[in-house]
Amino acid sequence: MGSFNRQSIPLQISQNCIVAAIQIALTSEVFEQLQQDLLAKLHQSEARGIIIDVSGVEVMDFDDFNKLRSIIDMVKVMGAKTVISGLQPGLISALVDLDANIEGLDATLNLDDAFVAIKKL
Amino acid sequence: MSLIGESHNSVVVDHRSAIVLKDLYDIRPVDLNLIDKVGSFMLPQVDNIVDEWYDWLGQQAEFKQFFSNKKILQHVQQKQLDYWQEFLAGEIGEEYVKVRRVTGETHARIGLSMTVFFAGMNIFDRLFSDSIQKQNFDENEQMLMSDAISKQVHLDTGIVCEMYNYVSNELIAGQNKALMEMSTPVTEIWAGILLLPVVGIVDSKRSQDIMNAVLNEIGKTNAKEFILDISGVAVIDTAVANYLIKITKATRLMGCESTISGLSPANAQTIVNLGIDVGTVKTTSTMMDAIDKAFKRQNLKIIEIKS
Repeated sequence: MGSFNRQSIPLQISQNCIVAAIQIALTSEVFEQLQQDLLAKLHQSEARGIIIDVSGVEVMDFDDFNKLRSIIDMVKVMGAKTVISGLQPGLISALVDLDANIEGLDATLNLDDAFVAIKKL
Repeated sequence: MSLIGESHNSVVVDHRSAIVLKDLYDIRPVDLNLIDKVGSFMLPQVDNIVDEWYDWLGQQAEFKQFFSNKKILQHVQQKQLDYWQEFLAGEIGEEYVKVRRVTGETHARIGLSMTVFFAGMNIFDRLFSDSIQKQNFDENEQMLMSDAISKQVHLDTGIVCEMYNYVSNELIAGQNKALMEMSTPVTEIWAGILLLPVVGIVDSKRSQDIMNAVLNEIGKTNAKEFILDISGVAVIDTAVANYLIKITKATRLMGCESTISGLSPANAQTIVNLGIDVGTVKTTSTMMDAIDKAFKRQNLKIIEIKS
């Protein structure tokens, strides 16, 4: 166990933004890792915003969504903005049906729009 | 609890195999042998039986409707002869069942009523029984033969009824789909601007359809603005308002701003009196206003060309 088979999400910096593209199955360990990595990276790089690309995510349950939300809230506390890009239509309608709290989130359809949105925020 | 977009279920035909069907109708090899035996003396006189049956059909109102054309009548009569020859062969295989399903579908599609079909099969059953009784068999064997024939007649009728059911279900499914598409006409009125006029009554099913249609359309067109016009919605109540607000929030997750237009004075009063919190949802009274504002946000402008 431990670091040996730990799945982590690669973080890249582009245009002064941290881009995290989630392309693996979401588990609580993955979220935990993402949270640690992302906040550490934000602290050391002083990036102005974070883009979480979820276009590769087809299934997300209520708990996953809430964990994602709490990461976004943490980023906000650290003074940066977060934009989610590439949410799938089926996923959104399911989230809304479950009465998930989607208020105050910034989201775009693709990565290009996400960079534009970050600049506006 | 995984979240995947719902799939639309389609109509399924009953796919029971010949073996299962035979078992279901309790048709044993003994019965099939008996039917084969009946066939040996019945086949030469099937012509007469079919003729007799048409005498019966001639008295029904449906006769004129479906068989007024001589050619059609001849064709159908030939088909019927073929059918009874297959029937009396004493074999129920996959091919036989398949042909029955096609027959059933044809009957249902031309709109022949199930009552007449049922009655017709019943008459055939009786004609066969009568014919068996005229033969020199002992009473017990006659009864067994009639029984075997009845079983197979029931099996055939059952398959045809199933197909009637299938055809009408298919029709309903088609209508549902058409209705759904008609009730959610999301159109791209300008590059990046979607418009959906809602007319009639909004309930939870419809609002879900609207949301799915809109989200899919946003994904397709990469739209940045969505206008939901509710001037045609008959009644606004708390439930409807909440649905609409949910839709506007959902589109935001795809990077698309929503505006609800068509809030008439009456609607505005109802919403406030009901204490509905519209929150951050953009609303306008006319569709024109909404389009105008959407254009402005997208840095677009329509100007008059002076000639």
